[in-house]
Amino acid sequence: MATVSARALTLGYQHQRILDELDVVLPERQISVLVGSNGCGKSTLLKALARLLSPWSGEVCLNGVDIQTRPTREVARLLSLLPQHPVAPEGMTVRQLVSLGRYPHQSWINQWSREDARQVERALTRTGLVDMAERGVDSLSGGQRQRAWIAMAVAQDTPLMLLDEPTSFLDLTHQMEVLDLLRDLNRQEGKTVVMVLHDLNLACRYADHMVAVCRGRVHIQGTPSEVVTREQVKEVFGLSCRIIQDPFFHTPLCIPFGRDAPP
Amino acid sequence: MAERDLTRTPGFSRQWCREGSGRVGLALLVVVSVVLVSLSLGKVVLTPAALWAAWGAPSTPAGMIVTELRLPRIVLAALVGGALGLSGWLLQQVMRNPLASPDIIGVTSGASAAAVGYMALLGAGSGMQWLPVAAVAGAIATALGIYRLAWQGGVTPIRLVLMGIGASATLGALTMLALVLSPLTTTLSAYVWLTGSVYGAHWGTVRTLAGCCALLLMVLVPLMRHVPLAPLNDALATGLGVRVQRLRAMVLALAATLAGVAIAWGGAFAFVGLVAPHLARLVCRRPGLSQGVLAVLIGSTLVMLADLLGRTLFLPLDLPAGIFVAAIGAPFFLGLLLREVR
Repeated sequence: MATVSARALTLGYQHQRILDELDVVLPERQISVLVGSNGCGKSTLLKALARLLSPWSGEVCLNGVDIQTRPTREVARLLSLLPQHPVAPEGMTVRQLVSLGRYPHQSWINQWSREDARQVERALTRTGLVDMAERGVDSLSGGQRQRAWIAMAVAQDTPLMLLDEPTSFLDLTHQMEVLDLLRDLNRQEGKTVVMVLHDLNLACRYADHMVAVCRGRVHIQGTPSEVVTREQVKEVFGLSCRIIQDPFFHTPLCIPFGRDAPP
Repeated sequence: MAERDLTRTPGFSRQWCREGSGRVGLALLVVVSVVLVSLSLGKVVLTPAALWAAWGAPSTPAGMIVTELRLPRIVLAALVGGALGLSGWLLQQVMRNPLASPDIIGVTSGASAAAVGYMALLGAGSGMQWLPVAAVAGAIATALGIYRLAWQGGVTPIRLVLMGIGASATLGALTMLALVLSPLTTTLSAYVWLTGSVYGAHWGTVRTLAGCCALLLMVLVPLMRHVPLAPLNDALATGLGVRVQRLRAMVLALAATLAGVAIAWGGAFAFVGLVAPHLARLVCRRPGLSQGVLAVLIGSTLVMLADLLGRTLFLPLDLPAGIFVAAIGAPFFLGLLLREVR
């Protein structure tokens, strides 16, 4: 069990304020997707939720306790993070990389317990990487590599997973593959998933809860059909569009207009 | 589990890399052979039988040569090379930069400036027993200074590297100035020191350096568990529960001190700290503890071989080992780069 929330969260870089007294509670055991235009602060919010950035004021709470006051190792047993552009050490195999996920559970005397071995095998199986376990991470394709990183987070065995644009630089097939994997983890293991996604339509398909961030605050949150309306897309993204219902999955489908006038 | 072995008893567990352990074993064999060859060769050449006899009778002339002249020198070379290799490996892990080495973060230049300055002030000869202390102090002060200069609410590897290059250049200029202003006799011994030499090693020096290295290893052992996570980006490492800045500072301090003491007693060997970890990576591609051990053994081998060449190649001259470290190390390094480009 783990819930993460932000209260009156204000922070930024140097003198530029990015988040402005932002409040949000992310529902447990659900997939929450943060959306918003570039520079709106959604990645910054995710970083703050993962304790990578410390607030100027306000706080991020993990199970009701200020995350900045908790030992980082303890936090790492509750919350895993996949940042943008992760870099693997040169020459590392997939199994070695996934094994790093066990770090917060290990101690100096116990560096490879039965549980460690079991969780790593489970993570490799879940992500379909068993056959590639001995290959170097550098030799994998983009989609496989992203699965390896997710496997590392799975091996970390945390109730809460934060992911910053896990589908960027992947083709559509692999985007779907990654999102399906995350949904399986949520539905079958009850993981709370919080991620930043750029593709609004994919976000609608996979999100249980959607948080639209605009100018450093939560503009609106709720189910995809509550959040993704023509007016709100205009306000949040500054984009003219028409919203229709996906004929197969019945989630909102955004048709952007761009410079073309609506027919 | 492929190529991995386990040690697991209640309350204790470890995973071993079989490939890495095998390579470490091989490297140990190489080290032992280099030691034996170095013991046999020199002005007096000993056959294996004569070497064995000399070993058993340390008071004979041959015994004196082996146990009092050659062995301490070989052990000192091994310690200096091993410490520099380990320091370079740690730095390359924590700086995430294949060019990181004790030379880059200013340890070498700091120790050199301090040592040459010390010689210039006192003149060669008097008070030389305190030279290593001055060199270690110079190394640590420079590393601290660079860390402080790079600090911006935390340090990033690239800032450390850039500050290190700047500081090294400045200290290099100061070293040159001290050399130029010194009398010729001082300049000459300073040059030998700057090249790196284990000439005239005796057991007292070896014991001191070995003691320092043992102390530093005791600090390193509990840290080793965290080192494999140092090459990850900060965000990933933090996500896994690593206190990134603390780990970086501790590993840097350890690597700087390790290189500092090695240089203090062996002189400013260049290149070992850069090349040994690269060769280790070439021998065992998988990152992990065995790579670090290999960096130690390869560093030792490099300096021992260099010293062997230095004292046998141009007999009766006894040349500083530092010259030959570059002579062996540089071609290796260039070959390695060519391999990577292909």
